Amino acid sequence: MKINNISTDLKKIFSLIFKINIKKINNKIDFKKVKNWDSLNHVKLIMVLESKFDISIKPNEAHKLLSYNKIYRFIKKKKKLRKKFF
Amino acid sequence: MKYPNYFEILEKINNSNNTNFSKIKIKALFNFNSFYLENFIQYYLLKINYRVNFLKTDFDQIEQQLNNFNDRNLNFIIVGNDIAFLKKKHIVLNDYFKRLENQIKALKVIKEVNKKIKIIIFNLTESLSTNQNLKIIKFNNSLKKLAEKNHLYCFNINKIFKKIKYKHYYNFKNHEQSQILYSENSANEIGNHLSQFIVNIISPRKKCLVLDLDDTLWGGIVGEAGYINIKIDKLDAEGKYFYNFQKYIKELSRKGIILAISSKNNFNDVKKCFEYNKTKMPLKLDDFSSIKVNWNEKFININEISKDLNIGKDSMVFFDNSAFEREQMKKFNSSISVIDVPENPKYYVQSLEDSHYFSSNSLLNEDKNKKYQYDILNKAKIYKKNFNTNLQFLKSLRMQIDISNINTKNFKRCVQMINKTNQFNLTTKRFNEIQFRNYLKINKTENFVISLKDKFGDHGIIGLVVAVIEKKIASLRIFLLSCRVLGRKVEEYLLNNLIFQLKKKGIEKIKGIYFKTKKNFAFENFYIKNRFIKENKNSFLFNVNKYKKKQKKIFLIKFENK
Repeated sequence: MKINNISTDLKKIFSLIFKINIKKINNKIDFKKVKNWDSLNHVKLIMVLESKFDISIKPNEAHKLLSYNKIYRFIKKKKKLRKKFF
Repeated sequence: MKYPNYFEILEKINNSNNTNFSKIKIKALFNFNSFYLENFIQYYLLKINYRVNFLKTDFDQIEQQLNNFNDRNLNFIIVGNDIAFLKKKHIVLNDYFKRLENQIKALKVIKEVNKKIKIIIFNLTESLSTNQNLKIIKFNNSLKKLAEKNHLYCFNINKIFKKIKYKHYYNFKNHEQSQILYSENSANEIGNHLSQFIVNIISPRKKCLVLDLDDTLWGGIVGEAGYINIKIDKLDAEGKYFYNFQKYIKELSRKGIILAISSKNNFNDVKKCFEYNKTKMPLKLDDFSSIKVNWNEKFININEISKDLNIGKDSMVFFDNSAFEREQMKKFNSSISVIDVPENPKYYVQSLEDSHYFSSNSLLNEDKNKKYQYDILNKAKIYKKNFNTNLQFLKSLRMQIDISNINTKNFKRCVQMINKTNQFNLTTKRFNEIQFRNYLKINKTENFVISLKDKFGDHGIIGLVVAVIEKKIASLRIFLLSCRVLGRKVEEYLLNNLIFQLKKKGIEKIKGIYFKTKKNFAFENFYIKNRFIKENKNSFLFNVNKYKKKQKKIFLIKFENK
């Protein structure tokens, strides 16, 4: 998966779950700025990330993924790790 | 099979704004966090044009929420307990059984107060040790009976559990984190099966079961093993499963389900087989209203069965042990419902029961007589071959139409017809009993309940007309006839006579109302053919002064209380 794809997909996911316009999503967005980012939607977000990017997110990692930037870097790292492994 | 991922699921839910979907309101009570599973159920129901609204609930609060239940206008309550976590929590299984029994008691109370609500309860997953699983199986059996007794629907979760391996079924990591429990695969499977289950419950009961013979109604192939060697004896280890299956089907037939055969065989072999084994087999050849034993493709045979019996293909269910035949049927005759027949005949009965195609809460006398009614229709069909013209044939049938008012005796049958009739139903307006009673109370109406007899027997109540009277104009708000009797010109003669009756009551104009649906399009021009004048696409007008009595007399028409 190319890096560009990660950001496109991530924006789509944010827009879908938090019901925000895709154009308004930038890398500065975090849980304080998004109105709908509650605990239920956070669980949804984690489930979608796992499913869409085919990665596994541990509970202690999920707690920390509270901004667009962190999530983006987290997925990139996981994907790289997987590449190395295979 | 490739499952859609959770992202695709949410995308579909988010993007489907079609207002034509039928709406279902569900309260889901689970002992785990169910929003995830709910999304999958929503997805699969959307695929078949139903939009679901899940009411907000707290998870693992089943008893509290059932005891404080006060939701109106709900269509479904779904109750699901999964005991996967019992492995870790050391809760005694028996205590859990008691908990479920208490839930059923509470559901029973809810059902008594809100008769319209359909309730689905999951049985328990056989996911523990072998010893405990035996207890669970025993409990599940009693749960099923208890549910049936109280008019609840029991959803067999083990069918799905056994399909997906244990380690892929649960998602324990997510369970600890957010109490979600299921994996994406199992949520997909449960969502898919449960949505089908829900639709089967709300759609009208199927009318006809089309069966294969070899390895379906009996063990072995009659053309090869011979009719002496087929397995049907109830004392035989394998034969008993086929015997039980036949017994179950015989019971369905008693409840008014029409049976038919579609089998690739020689008819003589089949006939001899039924004759030779008549003491062992619960079913007789006479129990089947249409028999197609030949070497034609089954998806073609079934068209003929549908024509023979005048039953729409979407009211037919196909049961065949051959996966090839089932796939062909699905491919070439997709409106037929096909049962996913298990390989082991031991589970034949269960697979039919699980489908809920033939389950119904109430059974009317009219249903019980159905087999008789289809048989007299068939006799008439054979008799028809003796005549050159349809008119001669119709005259010779000596048909008599009896027309009466709606009364307490026929009220339920009227409501049943309002909800079941599709083809000759000019307005397709549906009412439940309370709504219909109110409708009759609020409006000034003339109503006609129509029964038909002919030389072969009594067809029972076959039609209903309700005309709402306003200032000497009668609007035909309900005009329906059972599809069984179409093609006999009943509809034309009836309309002609009703006009005459309404004229006698001082009505000056009659308004025919028609709303086109997928099923009644064949009667789009019905009013125009009968000399009504089109006002707009839904409304047609007839001036009573222009009334002429039908000349060629086919029917004897009798009015009671008119």
